[in-house]
Amino acid sequence: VLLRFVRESIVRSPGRKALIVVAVALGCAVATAMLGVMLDIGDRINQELRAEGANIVVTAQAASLTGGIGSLSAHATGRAGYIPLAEVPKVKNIFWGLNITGFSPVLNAKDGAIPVEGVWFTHPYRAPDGSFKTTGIRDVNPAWEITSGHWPAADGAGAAGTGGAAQAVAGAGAARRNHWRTGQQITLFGQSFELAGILSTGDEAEDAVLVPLDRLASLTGRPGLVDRIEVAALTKPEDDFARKNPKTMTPKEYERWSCTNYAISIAHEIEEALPGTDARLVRRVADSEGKILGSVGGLMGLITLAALLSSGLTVWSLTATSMMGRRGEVAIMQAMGAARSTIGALFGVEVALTGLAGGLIGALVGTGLAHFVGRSVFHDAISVSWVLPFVIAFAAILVSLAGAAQPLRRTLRMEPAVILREGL
Amino acid sequence: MFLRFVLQALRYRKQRLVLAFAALTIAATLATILFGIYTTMEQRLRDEFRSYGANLIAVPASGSTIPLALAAAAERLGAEAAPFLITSAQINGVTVAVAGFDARKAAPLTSYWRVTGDRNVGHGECLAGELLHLPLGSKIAGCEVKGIVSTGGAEDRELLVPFADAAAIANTSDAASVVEIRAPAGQVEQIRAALARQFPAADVRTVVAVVNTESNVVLKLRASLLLLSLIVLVITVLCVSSNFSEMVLERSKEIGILKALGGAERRIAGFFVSESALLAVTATLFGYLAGVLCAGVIGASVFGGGFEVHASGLVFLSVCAVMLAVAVVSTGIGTSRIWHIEPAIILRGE
Repeated sequence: VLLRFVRESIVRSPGRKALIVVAVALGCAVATAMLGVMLDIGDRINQELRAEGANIVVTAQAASLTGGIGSLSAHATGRAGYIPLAEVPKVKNIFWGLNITGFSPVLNAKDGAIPVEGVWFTHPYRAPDGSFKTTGIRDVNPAWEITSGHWPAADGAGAAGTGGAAQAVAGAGAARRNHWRTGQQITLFGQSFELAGILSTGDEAEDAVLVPLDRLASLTGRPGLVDRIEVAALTKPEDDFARKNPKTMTPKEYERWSCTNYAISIAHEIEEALPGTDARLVRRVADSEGKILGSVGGLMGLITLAALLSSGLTVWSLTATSMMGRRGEVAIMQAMGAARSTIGALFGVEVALTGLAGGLIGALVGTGLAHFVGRSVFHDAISVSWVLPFVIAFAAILVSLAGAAQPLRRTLRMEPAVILREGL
Repeated sequence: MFLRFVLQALRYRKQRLVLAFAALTIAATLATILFGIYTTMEQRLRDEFRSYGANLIAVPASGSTIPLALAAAAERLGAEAAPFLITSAQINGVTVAVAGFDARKAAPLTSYWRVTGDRNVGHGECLAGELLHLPLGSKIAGCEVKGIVSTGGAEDRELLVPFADAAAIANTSDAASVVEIRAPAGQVEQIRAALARQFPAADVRTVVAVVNTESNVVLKLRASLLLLSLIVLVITVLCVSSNFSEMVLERSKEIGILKALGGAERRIAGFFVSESALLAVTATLFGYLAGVLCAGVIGASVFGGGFEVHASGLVFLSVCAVMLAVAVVSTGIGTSRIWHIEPAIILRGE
């Protein structure tokens, strides 16, 4: 009986049913698109913010003396502890290794008044899973611009060559002061380098010359040693829990703390993976990024909440309206002696089916819309979890049922005779 | 007569209309919220980006100092500027970098400094970098440590003293080592060029990472918000308009009676359209108020300051116009049915 009732109801007024399904679908599409974008946008913005540079800097515990302000600093060299170069790839060996988008060891030196930094430009290393990957200063600072020339070729290519000059990149400030041009040979520590490009950054690197790490290490007699490691990691905004001291936590709290990708817990893990080092947060980057991510998350969350509420109310009011239009049907069934529970079940199944159909269609359309937003804004599809459409369809059923319940109950309580006489 | 018809219709079908009204109000609320957020989001977000600090940095092109007047000039151009003077001092036989800063001017540009204690230092007081391991309140190099600063950067190993004190140690006047500048978005390059022209002794640089990331993130967020708002609005409009068309269809019987009594089709259509229009205007009014309230709450909880919906009249009028257009057009489409209704057939009950 149940199935026949539903089938009949659809056959008798296909247009009307279709209208409701479409309306439910539209509401669900909004909800899915909003949720899909909201759940993913934090990660996207997080990746964009990585352009600000390293958020964790690792130094040896007995680190050297520096002077400077903000993003400008001059490191006094040759004073204290180094990190062994062989240890550097261990940065990737931590639990949150996949969240580390780039790292580069840095060795400082000074040739006269010119600060020279030995770095990895594009350097191959063995990842924890055994494959070879590359990383370097460009992955740590994606925003750095080469204003003329190009980045040096991959590390090792120049060094392995038979005496071929290694390539270097000069900061715009250093280049102007020394009247250097792209492509020119420059001499540092008595060895000539080919100037592959001029770098514009605005921070301390603009006054320095960047050269391949291994060259600088051998020229300054510090093979296999680095001053610091710059690490760029995708992190979760810091909250009150993140600020707790790991030493005073209960084991359970500590587990939760280290299993969350707070910048501070990643730094803590790096310290454990590289004994004798001090991993510190670059507050300017790490804190600002946390603040912005927090705001973006809150903003999107609240807009999504508003959209969810409104689409829920739309679906609810629609089913309520259509239920009211069917008082006559209910009255006839009642007059023919159908029990209230039977009528309730019949209409319930019908409404649930409409909700399911609308919800599924809407969820699919909404997923498409979320992808569209992702592609047109971030040039990359947004990944919508496969669970989401089902959750949305389920919610659509619940909301439809809730919308239908009240008018149905009201009609059931009325005298069928009254309704039928009024011809509603 | 006309008014009475409309008002009576509203009274007679109260529940039905309450639902239509609710749907419209929701649409108007959502439109107002999205519009309000969209127009103010950019400024709010840019304010958050201020915590990254300077987007321009002036350093000496040659020599070791630049004129202090550069900071004042930058402020005259509408930017925030903080001069720093870097020198050194001997503490227990070790040379420590000493940075002079202007507590008041530096505050907005260095909001990322984590200071335990008081960061507003006066003459004879200082902040000590975390890695200097100096206790709070200790006296060192002629100043009292009022706070411990932690930044993860160079400041961690410095002694931060008031600008005038640093100038006295370095024996300079009207000179700074670095001027950090925060120029308003959109004027960064303009201010940089102006300062570079005025002070040839200084090398004024754009902090590429800060400027690029800010515009990148703000643009992308704005674009996604715009797209989402459009999607939401289009879908809401579709829902509302289907609601209106339905309202005409439901009342075929009434239309039949009116036609049987000799009512002209145009007149009947007029009743329906004006009923919807009235509904749309009232709903917009309520929706607008609710929307302004919600936008305020959202703004307060996300950015700690309400979203004032700018040019409120304009927002209201545009929301109202959209709502009216939707109501009138969709009812109008529905009323085209009136011409096809045969009173005799409808009233017979088919």
